[in-house]
Amino acid sequence: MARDVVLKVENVWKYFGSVIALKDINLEVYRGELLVLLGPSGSGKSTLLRIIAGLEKPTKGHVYMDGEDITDLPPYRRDTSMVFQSLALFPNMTVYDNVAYGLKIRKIPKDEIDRRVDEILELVKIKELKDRKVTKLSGGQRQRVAIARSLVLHPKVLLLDEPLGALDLKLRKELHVELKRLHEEIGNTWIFVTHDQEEALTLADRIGIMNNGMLEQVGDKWDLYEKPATRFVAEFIGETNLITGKVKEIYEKYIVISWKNINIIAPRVSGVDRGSEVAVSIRPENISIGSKPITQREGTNIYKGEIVDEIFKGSYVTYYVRLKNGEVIRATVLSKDAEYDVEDQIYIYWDYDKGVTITD
Amino acid sequence: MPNETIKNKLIKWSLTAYTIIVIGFFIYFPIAILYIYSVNNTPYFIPEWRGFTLQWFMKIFERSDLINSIWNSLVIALLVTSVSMAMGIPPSFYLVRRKGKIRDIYFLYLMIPFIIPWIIIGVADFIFFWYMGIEKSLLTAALAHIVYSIPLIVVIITPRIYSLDPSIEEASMDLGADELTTFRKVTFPLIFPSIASAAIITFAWSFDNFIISYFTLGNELTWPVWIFSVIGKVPRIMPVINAMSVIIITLSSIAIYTLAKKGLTELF
Repeated sequence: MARDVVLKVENVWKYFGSVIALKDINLEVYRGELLVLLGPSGSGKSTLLRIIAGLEKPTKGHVYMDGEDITDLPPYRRDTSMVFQSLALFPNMTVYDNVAYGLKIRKIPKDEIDRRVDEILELVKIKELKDRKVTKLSGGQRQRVAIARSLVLHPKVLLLDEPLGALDLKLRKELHVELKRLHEEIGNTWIFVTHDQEEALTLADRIGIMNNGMLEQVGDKWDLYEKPATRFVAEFIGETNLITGKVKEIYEKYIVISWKNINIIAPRVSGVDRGSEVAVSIRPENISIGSKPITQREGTNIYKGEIVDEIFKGSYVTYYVRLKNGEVIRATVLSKDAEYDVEDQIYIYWDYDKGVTITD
Repeated sequence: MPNETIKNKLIKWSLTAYTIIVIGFFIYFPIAILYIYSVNNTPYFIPEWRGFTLQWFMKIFERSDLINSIWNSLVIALLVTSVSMAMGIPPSFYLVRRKGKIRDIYFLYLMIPFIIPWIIIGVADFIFFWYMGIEKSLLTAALAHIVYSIPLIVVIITPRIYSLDPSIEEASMDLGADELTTFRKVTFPLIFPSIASAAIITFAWSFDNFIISYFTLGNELTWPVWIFSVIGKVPRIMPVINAMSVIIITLSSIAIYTLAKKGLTELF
């Protein structure tokens, strides 16, 4: 299905002096979606956002909006608006003046400005604070002003640079729900930058994972979780066991990997030869534990091991299981099924198809 | 713990007493003396009340050289303030936001007035104008003031620019304002308190500067240099200077008080 692309980033590189901040970024953003750029600090996600906003110029490459090349347009000529990490509210102004700022610059008639400001303040639920100085607001209220100030301009693309970074966890979670509601009500395109994977999974339609200035993978959050393209993505989204080894045998559907004297069977992917190094990602929740060596089943990896640690996390328990090659594998089970103790000799098993073979 | 309370009270009380003594006595007491002697009916500073008089204030208007020197000081201070503000504000931004060799050299210049004694600067200016064959006048004095007041301005304004979140200006541009509008509507209002205090301090510094003025003035004198030229030479002039000082202190106190009332307390 061809989707309507509102923003396109093409072969964008960014150098700061001799430091490479972005390496050959290609990204298509669909109209109306909420795309989250997720990555550790220093991965280049904010730089990419600033390039889209026009606050930085790419060293190489182009940015297109609705097919038009906007690479060289200054920020005030672009139909984007940014919510800054520091919020960057104008401290010398009231809530009204902050929100009306962009409209006044556009020389919109006073009564229309009033109407639009009222409307947007209503939407973000801070109408009663209209005449308050922004320095006299709480963190959550300031957050709403910053978002209202950008949204009131009806930008084609709203850019949010870790706007919830300074808030406590409870307030963040409340705002996540609010942001999702806002995005659905307004229906424009949002690009949200964060380093918090939980935030990304809560908010996103699609997620782009960034690392070391590269966009490692863009996709539906289920795709990223179930079919990570790189080791980094596998480890960054959720928890995983990442097993690396050399390919020993290749069959029609599966490959056999030698992992420190243990053979692991995993799905075959293209571009794998005998002897090449690959990684297999197995999510802890896909690994089962049993006290007996269950009868050999078709298509299942089974290993004997000893529980060396257990971590109780409320609804589930994570067991750390040491295999006979000395390596430790994590497996999670629901708390109600968690019947094992440290030092128990057990068996772990998972279906071949639950492993994801990664060749990066 | 009653002992703790007593100790705390003692600390509080001695701090209050200390403040009263330092501010009250060392700062306000000499000024009070000035006010008393400006209306004391004697030309001498004798510890004795000789009755109320306004004659010293009246005598100000009989001395056209005094009035003239005040006028000269005002004109120079105004000129110096406006020119050096215009010359000091842009480099303040440069210093905060750019790095490089020029910045380092400029920084060195900024330190001059704070590390080189004024007398040396004064003599250097004197030699400079003589060497260049420029006749000394109010203008040469104003030029010298400008050169050495720019560092003052930069030192006052840069911390404010430094504390300004650069994303505030980016936000303004992101919302549709070009560079100029952003400066007018966001940057300037935000650094205005520091600009205002830099202007006031520069004005005051130029108005009562003696050493540089002394070496760079021609025949026309400013108020501090005029005082120096008449003390010990013109009889019964001290009470007149005293009266003029009272006027200056009163006027500037009123000005500062009004500014503070207007909510510009963060200036100081």
